Amino acid sequence: MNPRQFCRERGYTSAIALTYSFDPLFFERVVLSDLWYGGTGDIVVVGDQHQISEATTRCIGQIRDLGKRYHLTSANCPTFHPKVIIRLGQQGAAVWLGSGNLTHGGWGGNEELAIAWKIDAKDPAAAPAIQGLISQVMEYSVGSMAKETIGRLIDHEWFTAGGDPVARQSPLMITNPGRPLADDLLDRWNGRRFTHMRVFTGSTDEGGRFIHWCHNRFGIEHCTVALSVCVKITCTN
Amino acid sequence: MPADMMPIPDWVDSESEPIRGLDLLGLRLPAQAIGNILLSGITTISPTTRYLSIRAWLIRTFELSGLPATWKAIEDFAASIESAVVLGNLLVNPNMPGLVGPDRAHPLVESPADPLPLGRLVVQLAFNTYAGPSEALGLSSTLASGLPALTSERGKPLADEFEKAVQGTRFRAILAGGTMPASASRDVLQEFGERVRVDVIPPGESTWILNAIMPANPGNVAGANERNRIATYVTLLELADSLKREPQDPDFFQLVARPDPQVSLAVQSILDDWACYAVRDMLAVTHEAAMNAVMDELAARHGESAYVDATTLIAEMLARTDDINSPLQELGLLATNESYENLTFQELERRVENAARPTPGCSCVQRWCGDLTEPSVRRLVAPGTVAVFGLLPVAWLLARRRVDTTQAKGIEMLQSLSSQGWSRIGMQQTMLPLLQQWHRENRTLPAVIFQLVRRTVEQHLRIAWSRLVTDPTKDVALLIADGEQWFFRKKFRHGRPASRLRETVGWLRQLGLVDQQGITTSGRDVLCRGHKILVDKAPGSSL
Repeated sequence: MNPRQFCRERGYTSAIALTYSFDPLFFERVVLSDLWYGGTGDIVVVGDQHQISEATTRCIGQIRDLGKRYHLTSANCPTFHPKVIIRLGQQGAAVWLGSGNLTHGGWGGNEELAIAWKIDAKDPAAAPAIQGLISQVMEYSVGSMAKETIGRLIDHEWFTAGGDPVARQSPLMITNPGRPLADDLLDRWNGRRFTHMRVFTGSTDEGGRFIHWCHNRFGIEHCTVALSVCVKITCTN
Repeated sequence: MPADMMPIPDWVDSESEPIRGLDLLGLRLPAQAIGNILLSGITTISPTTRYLSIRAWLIRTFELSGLPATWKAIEDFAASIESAVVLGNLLVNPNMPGLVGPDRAHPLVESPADPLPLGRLVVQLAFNTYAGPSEALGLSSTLASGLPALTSERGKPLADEFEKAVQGTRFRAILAGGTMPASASRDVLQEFGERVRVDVIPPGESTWILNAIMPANPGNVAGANERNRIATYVTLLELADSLKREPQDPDFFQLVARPDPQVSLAVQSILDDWACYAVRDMLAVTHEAAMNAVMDELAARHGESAYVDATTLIAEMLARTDDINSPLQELGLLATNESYENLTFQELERRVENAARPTPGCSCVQRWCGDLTEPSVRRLVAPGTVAVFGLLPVAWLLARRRVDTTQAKGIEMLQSLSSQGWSRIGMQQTMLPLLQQWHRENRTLPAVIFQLVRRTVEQHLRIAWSRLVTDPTKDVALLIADGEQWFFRKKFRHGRPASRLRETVGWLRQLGLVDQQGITTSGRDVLCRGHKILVDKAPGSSL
């Protein structure tokens, strides 16, 4: 999974990037250059408020393009942890979902996982899938300017036409500020049973309580956990 | 894509390979850019003057050979001729210095083989490495076809002189037959070697090389003003005369930095311009050394944990007060019973200004007596220790002190000190505003040093990432940065921009203008000639 190739692919004019940690120097040098190469001019980054504040203070005087070539806003919650890039254009959207931040480490320096997929504008489920996502992002964005900017980014005919609202759920879930992920999962998979589960993570909860919970709620019998080799595994049970 | 067809996650891989690189903070380039303007026609890989003659003759001989006018043909031809030159020289003197390709030639010479094969000895031929100097000295130019051509004013006369040296040799006779031999006997090569010794330049060749270095009517050749080169050579000859020995790099830069009534008016302007070089040189050295110290520290902690908190790391390094105090005390900016931790930036600023009080009547470059100069700061830089941290603010303050921006030429010099602006810690864009801010906010000295160390690492990352954009497959970053966290990747050793003054003095020596006793009789003649050329034109800004 090459994030640079993802950003350099042509055909998408706007982008929304969600991140926890943000390095403006790396972003302006590498990510922004790649997005421009890919024809993306309207760019909004939503990041964790503490991380954004720390990074902009640290790099003060060295940030060149902020406010001119991209918009940066903090999420209105204590910790904002998603790492997603949504690129939008007339032909549809491309989505990158990974574990890496918009930093040198997150862009391939660390061991990070990601998936990416495309959504075709002709697919009736395209608009609802992205709309769901954008509306969740909107809930986190502070200020009218950020909301206005995001509103402008999604101004594509296929998107505003709305598609078929009952066609399909968004494949991507972002937790809401006031609601735990567990509740969202229960809603989404209500009544469904599974036998196998694969978990990709940088760290796990102690005692495997998440796996227990999945077993109890969805009947998971076999679970494969992919961990970085750097993670120390402690088994209490 | 429907949710039930979602792909499985995969590892993120930007497909860039960590590689080695040069000028990893990008701070040598501004110095080198100034140096190239002031001293054209010589590089660090062109130390042997006579290769200029060899190359000129090689181009001329190729033109007359009837071989196809292609790059491959001339390269093959050059490879064979060069191997004959190297083998011939080594047969005359097995320890001959300054040859291109002796490593492969030595085993051949030491073997019992006879004849010896003629062929490429090095990847990069002297024909190519001396192309830049040759063009900058107006000896040759490059045709639209990519092939070199001699200039009639300088290149052809030099080739003719070299032809006189090799005329009558058996090797020359073989070449005149229109064939390039695949081998040559030891006798033939030794006879040829006697005539093409790279440590002896016949007077006729010497005259034409000097005419190229110091043309009577200097102009702009290959984008460089020849007057600057002449003035630099004249300065080195003046130094040799006053020192009664060969001048060295520190002699030159002390002359640049300090007031000296003996300096002739003819070279005053070029010394001012070299002062800009000295400033950028000092900045490159101090920041690279600071990077060196940070990387050594990261390397030492590499085993403890993957990522290191940047703020903690720098703070802990700054706690080594004795190390940081030491160079400040040596420069006389800190008393032995003081510590830098208790100083404000304003206090350091005041002490630097006191120690560097400009001598009245200076030009746009301010000069002062005493030891607080760029060469002194560079001399105190030791590899891999935090001592250099204390030198960082001193280097910035000295840089500001050096140029008087109230004068028109000072403003011009400020431009050259600000080349490529904020991406290279430009004086105007980065240094002056930050110095003002630290003064205005009355920052503590540790806070300023902290910021400068951090800035050093960011400068490296900025350069590494810029190169990554240009070529996504090559990553020269020494560390991985993830927000406040740093992760060690590669060791780093600091260095210095190449002034090429050592090579220039080498050329002066080979041309018989300087020796162990200083300037020679020929050197004095050339010095007079240089003065005459320089006074014919009014001095002005060269940069």
